[in-house]
Amino acid sequence: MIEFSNVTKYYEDDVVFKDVTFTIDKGELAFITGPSGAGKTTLLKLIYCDERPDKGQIVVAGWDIGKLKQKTIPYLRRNVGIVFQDFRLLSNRTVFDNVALALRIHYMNASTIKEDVTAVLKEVKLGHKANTYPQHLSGGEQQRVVIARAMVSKPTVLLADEPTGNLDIDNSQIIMGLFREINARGTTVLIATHNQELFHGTGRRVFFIKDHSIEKEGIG
Amino acid sequence: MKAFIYSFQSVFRSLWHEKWINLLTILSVSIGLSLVTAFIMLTINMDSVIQRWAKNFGLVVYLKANVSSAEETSLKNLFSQDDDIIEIKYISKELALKELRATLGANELILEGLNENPLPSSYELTLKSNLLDPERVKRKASLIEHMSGVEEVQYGEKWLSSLYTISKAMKAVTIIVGGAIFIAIAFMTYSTIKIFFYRRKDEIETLKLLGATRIFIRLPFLLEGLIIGLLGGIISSLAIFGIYSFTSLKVIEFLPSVRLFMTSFPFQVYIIVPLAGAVVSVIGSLIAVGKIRY
Ligand SMILES: Nc1ncnc2c1ncn2[C@@H]1O[C@H](COP(=O)(O)OP(=O)(O)O)[C@@H](O)[C@H]1O
Ligand SMILES: [Mg+2]
Repeated sequence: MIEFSNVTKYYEDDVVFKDVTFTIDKGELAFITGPSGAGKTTLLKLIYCDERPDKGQIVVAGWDIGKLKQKTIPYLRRNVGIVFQDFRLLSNRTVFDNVALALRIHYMNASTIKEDVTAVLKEVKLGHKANTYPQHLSGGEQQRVVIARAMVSKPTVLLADEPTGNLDIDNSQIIMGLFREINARGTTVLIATHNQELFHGTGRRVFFIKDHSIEKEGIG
Repeated sequence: MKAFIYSFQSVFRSLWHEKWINLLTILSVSIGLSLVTAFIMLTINMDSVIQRWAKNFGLVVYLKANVSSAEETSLKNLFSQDDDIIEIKYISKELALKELRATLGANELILEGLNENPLPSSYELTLKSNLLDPERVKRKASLIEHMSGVEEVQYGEKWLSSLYTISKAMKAVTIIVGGAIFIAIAFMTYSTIKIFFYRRKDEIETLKLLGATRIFIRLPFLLEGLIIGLLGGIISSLAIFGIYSFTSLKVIEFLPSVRLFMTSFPFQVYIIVPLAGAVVSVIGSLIAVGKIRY
């Protein structure tokens, strides 16, 4: 589902990845880890084409990222749900509208949007907060809104960047539970985290970034 | 189609939310459009006045004293075959003298001592008014001068070329001023849309990351520009209609000569002005939104 072949990425003259090769299979739930500044966010950005590799090939859900034209990038992104580290919620829109945005960009009709958004908000236990503005929610709730927005369009791939960044254990567990559910429905999930606790004992594959490459992959 | 319905919702939200800045832009656009229209109408009307003056313009072809009647007839035939000449008037020696006497009036006595009519007979030719380019008239005149039986061709050379220059200068000024105002209109919409675009920069970034196409992002801004231009044009049309009705009703009562400058006022103006506003404003918006890169 996600395939990196000899990918090299620079920011100006600073190398982030050198000759990275790995594959994440369809239907897998995997982790990518490494210390802060290792390149976890950059790796996710390469997947959703917010950054381009300087060398090598990246294939996501059948799309060769290197060959994507500007105007086809949106169509790739519609297959990729993203849980941003900085949330990217719009403060002037309600929770409902924030989530609905992911469907509105597909010009879906209003009644379908209402149905789908209501269902997904219920799933992340925020049905009662639909008309609240994001800044009036707790960190854990905001995180769930972001997840709801990422999953509402039923993407083939879901990427999460530090989804438990500054949440307590209870909230982290809730969120990991959501990812397992999403994954159980067939979506490939890739979670970037510096927090080892998150994958310990999960039995899932973990990719470690070290010295600008994926040094080893193990089982969490 | 769906894209349009979607964008309209967003546009109406923005129009309402930012009603003051939008209203200000619409009014500026309408003032600009009214100015351009006034300028163009003034030029068209002035030009039609000039054209009307020019209608009386003609060439006077003086014939040789010894011209034969065969020559006179053949000249007349040549003139009537020439498409550029719309009217031919023959002035005989006798008629010329009579006219001269009439002009002189009481001073007619001056002519008393003449025992022979010294005036030549002539043809007065009226040319098509769209042919009043001095160069063309000059060429025509010298062509006629070489015909047999023709002594001399006279026409108001200076007068013609100054009319021609005025008409040309007026058109040039209109194009320059009109163009400048159009650019100003585009710029007004440009800056308003640019402000909206910058205010929503974060939102647009997020939309891009969620997979919104360029058209989804751009369309609301272009439609907003379109509506600004259209409304500006409609207001301008209403104002033009109001001013025109007022002047034609009231002013002409007191100043009949004003009618001279209001010869033509085609109703199409009321359609063209809003359309022009819309097109120019959409161009301004297109530039404001610019290229969208992912
Ligand atoms: N847009 C950018 N321009 C230049 N350098 C960047 C940019 N984004 C990230 N970096 C650098 O690349 C490295 C990897 O960053 P990042 O992918 O954010 O790491 P992580 O998410 O693992 O903390 C860091 O050294 C960071 O400073
Ligand atoms: Mg990061």
